[in-house]
Amino acid sequence: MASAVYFCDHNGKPLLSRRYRDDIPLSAIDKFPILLSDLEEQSNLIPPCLNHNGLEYLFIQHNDLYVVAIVTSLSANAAAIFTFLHKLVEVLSDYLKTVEEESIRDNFVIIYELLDEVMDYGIPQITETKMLKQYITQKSFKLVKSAKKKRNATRPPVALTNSVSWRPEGITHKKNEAFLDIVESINMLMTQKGQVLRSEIIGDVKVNSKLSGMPDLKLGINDKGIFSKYLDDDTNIPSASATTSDNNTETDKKPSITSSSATNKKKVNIELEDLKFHQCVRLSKFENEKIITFIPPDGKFDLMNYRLSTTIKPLIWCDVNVQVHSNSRIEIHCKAKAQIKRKSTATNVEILIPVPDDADTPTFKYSHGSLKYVPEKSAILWKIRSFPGGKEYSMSAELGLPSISNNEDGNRTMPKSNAEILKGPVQIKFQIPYFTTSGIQVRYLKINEPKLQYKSYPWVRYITQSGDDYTIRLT
Amino acid sequence: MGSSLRSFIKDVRGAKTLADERAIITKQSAKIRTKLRDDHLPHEKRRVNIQKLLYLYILGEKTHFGQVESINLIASDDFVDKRLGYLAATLLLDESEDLLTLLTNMLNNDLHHPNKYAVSLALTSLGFLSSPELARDLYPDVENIIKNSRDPFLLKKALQCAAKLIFKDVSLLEIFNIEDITKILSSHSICTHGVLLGVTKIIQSILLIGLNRKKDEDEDEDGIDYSNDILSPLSLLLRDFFIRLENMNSKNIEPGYDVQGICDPFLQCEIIYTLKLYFQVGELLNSNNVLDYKDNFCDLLTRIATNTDSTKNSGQAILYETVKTIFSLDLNQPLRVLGINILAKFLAGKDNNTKYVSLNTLLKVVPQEPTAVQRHRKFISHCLQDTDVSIRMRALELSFAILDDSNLVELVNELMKFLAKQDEDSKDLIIYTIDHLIDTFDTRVVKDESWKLDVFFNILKLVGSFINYEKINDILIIINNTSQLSDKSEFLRKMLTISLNGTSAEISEENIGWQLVLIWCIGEYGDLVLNEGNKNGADIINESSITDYLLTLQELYTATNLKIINYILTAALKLSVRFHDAKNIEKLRQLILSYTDSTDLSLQMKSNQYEIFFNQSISVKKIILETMPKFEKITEEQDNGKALSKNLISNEPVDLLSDLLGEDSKAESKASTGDNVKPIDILEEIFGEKNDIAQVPKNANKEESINHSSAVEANSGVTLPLDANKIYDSSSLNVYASLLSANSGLAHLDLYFQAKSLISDLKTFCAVPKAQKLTLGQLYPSSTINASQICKQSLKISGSGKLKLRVKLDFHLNGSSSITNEQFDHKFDETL
Repeated sequence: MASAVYFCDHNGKPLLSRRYRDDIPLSAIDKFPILLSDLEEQSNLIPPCLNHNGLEYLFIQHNDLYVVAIVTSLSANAAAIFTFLHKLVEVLSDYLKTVEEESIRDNFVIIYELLDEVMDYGIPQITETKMLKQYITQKSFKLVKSAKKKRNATRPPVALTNSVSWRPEGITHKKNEAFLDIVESINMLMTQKGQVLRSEIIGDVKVNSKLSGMPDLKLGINDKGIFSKYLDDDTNIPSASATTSDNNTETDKKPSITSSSATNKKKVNIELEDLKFHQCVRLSKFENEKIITFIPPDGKFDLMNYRLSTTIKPLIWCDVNVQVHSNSRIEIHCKAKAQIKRKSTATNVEILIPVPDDADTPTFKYSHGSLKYVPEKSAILWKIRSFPGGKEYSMSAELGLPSISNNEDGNRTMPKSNAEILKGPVQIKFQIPYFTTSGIQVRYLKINEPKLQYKSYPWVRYITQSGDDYTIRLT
Repeated sequence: MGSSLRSFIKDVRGAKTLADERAIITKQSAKIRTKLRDDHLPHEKRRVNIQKLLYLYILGEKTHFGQVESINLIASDDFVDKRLGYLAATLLLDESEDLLTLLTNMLNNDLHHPNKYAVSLALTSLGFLSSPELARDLYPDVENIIKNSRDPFLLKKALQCAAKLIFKDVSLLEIFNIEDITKILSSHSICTHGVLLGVTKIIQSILLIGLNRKKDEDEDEDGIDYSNDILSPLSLLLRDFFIRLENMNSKNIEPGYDVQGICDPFLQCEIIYTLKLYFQVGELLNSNNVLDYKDNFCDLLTRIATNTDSTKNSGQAILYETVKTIFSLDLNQPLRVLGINILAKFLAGKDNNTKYVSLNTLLKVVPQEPTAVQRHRKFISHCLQDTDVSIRMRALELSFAILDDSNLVELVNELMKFLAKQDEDSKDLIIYTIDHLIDTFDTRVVKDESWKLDVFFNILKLVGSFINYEKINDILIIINNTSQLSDKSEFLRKMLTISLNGTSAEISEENIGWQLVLIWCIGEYGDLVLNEGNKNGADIINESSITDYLLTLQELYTATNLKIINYILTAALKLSVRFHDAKNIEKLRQLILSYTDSTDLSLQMKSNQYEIFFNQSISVKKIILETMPKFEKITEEQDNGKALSKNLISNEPVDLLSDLLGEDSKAESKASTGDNVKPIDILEEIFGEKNDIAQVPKNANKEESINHSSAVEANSGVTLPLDANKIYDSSSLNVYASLLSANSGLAHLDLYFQAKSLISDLKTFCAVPKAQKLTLGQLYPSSTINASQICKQSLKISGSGKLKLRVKLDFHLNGSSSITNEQFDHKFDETL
């Protein structure tokens, strides 16, 4: 359905192209930058489908690139083409790490190989990265290591046509292990007085599978898959556990004191929003029995994503007080408090406090961590490597301001207000290992391989960290 | 990261990404801010930081925090600090009041500094930075220097500074004293060329102020009577300027100011410019004190234009300033011609810059002196061959600017030579030339239409691949509106001769313009060229070769250009009535049929419609597929002549409509315009009477087998009844009508056709108002009428309304092969 695929730079000029059919002229892509600039003049919104001279230009944007497909007929499936283009960018991301103009230029050989395999005569073919990596082994500049060349590297694997298309047969590992990481990112917006305006938890269950054959895994979470959370803060959070099991042997139960304690507490069901699974998970079994069973692809993959929109108290709280002496200096006082259990420790804490663009002569006083002025970000950065739960640290800073304001409005008699001087919020980054805010626990992880009957080792780890948007709004 | 300016620049230049560069700049900016706060910073370090600040200014970064520090440098006693401080202040400060108040005292002190170079720094900065308040405060100090100083260096600086101050604050004109200038000019020891530059600057400021005022605001709010208080004293200096300018322009040798053998071209240009401002203001205010010198000025300009060496760049500068002056003022005509001759001399030179400037200026002065510019057409055409593309573009614009009816033929031929030498790299020039040539022929009446078509023939042949579709449509309109059929057929013959020659690669398949025009002309005029081809014995052009050519084009452009396929289908349909060979007609039909299932929807629709047309009888198709009539292109810029022509054309349908329908029947008629009545009604009657019309050829065949005596005998049977009325008279025949009966809803009448000379193959078409229906009878006894003989036809009309007829006749006259067309309307007294 697609006659050609082009990668164009941010001006719309082609960098690299692949023609699958001969039904469009070679100069068709030359119209694309002209069409783009015409549309940009008309409005800010550019439709993703452009029509010119009987040709359809369907394109997506990624970083500084346009990925354009040109088709000749309106009967083409535009939605399928856009899905293909997005998938193509995803495949290239796996190979190149960063898909942009420079990496396209540097890796054109491997990209042409991939374009050969992902589409044939305009019809999408193979778009699964793990399958492509079986035999597209051209070394790329961004790849961490080159893939090992297989014995039948030049032939597509038979697994593409199997019912389990994400895992080839015949995988062997010397030591059979499965690593399970539960990572929860906290996004939160708070006012200066401590009020939480918005908070959410984004959870990600990552699996790194190093298992042989065709293993069948079963994952149990919190009382047979009912996602519940104990409101009692005294509940023990299990630390990283290494559970060994013999062939087909179930994981040992937790100590009975925990079980008896759990039965006495009130349970509250919490609905997980936006629950998403990898394609290897059997959805019908999960819907009927609330059990997560899957045959994992080899290596790292995301098993499950979820999101909770519940109000939680701030884990790291900063009390920031800013005093501006206009045209003279600015004073900042900050108290940071780790509002987590004493047994937990926040690590790699970074607190970024904004200051005016034209500040100078910083002087600091602080009890813990390190403080420095970062002019490229117009902020001061407070780093605390280890922040035990329940602790409170403080610092104060003073910076000079020029006597002449950079007021482009021309109104020089009115001094700037504090809100105008401080442009952005305080941003906080942190990590808290061995801790999940939502309370999700892994009960068991069973590994079953019917043919090989090997000994396997599941590992589980928990971590809570700050998300992309953990901020305290000032004024 | 080092601490010197050089290392800072090197770091910025060496940044790999934009983010890296930004980080380097923000870090360095913060460091500069911190350093400048240190009161114990040594002066050397302080200067380095200010230099870095200036680099940030060059990069476009924020530098407001360094303004106070630059003022502190000015306060230093060290000249090096002062110079850098003034430089930084000039660049970084704006007209904000806070800092200029600080600066006022410093400037005031430095204006009294014993070192004249420090004074000059202050004067230069004052000129750059002054606000109206600052100008008013410090003007007395500047004036004091002008009055008392004997140093030419300081005088030059002070005069230029005063020029800027006066321009900032017009009220300073009140206290400005022209006597100071007079005294300077009269002193030979201090009146150097530099000082003269200062004098011209200050006078230019004063004159520009006068030029910006409106004439009716002679008494301004400032209370300045410009004409009497300002301009009159200034006019006393005019004679002095004339003398100085003439002395410099003559062959005096002053080694200190000699540039390529010319004495101080900079000062000469400034004086000429000043004199131009004098006369512009003089014209505006109608000041006799100034205008009395106009003749002297003309003589002076003439001498300068004659004496200055035009082969040197410095001389060219003076000549160019002279030309600008000539055309800015309303000087006499010989001077304007002289100016144009100077510009033409520039065109003959080798310097591209001079040629470009000259072409630009000639383009501006064409409205003033078109004839003089046209005389140098050879130089302009020579610039069309220049290697510099911008000069070629300017020469093109100028060529079209000087084009008029008298030089149309020569200029267009010159442009055709120009087009023949261009290639892909000059695409913009080619498109510009084509667009303007088409516009030229659109707007001008060209008597020699054969030559006009020759021009378009060559355009399509040389640069047809660069013409866009809209311009191709314009070319088709021009060809369509050509009045002589022989010109059109000759045009098509030449195109076909080239394209049908299989061995020639003269026209590439990418020349879309050529192919489109050729295909369209084949459809419209194919029969003309075929008929003439038989006479001339040109074997290459025949029905088969044309058909095969269309089929070849169809195969060639099927995948790449659907627009051409549309044109090919239209041409194939039109040729079906112009061709006689059934085999080729069938090929054309198959060509149309092959697109009835095309994936392109518009092409499919067109193909199916054309198939329906193709299956109509030959007489029906001839009417539908006639040659296009004259096309009047509607544009917004129509002039009066075109509007009049349009009115004449638009009157015709109105007359036809009122003549046919009349006022009483407007309510009954459903036709919207007269144009709609004719084709709709004729088509309805034609399709309705298909069987009757089909019988006409059979009757004609029968008549051909009868000998002459039988025809004469049969015709003698038809006689004209006494009640018949003549309704039409022409050089070929008379038409009579006899109304047999006119009852309610039905009428019977007979038409009688009396030939004045031999008429054969007569075909009649009649139309009635939409509310009525017409039944045509047979022509009796035959469709061939000898001279003075009569042929009869019966008509039956049903319906309601006024009884009206529109009759159209097609016949061969005196045995000729061409068809004669006649048409007329008639309105009876009766009403159905």
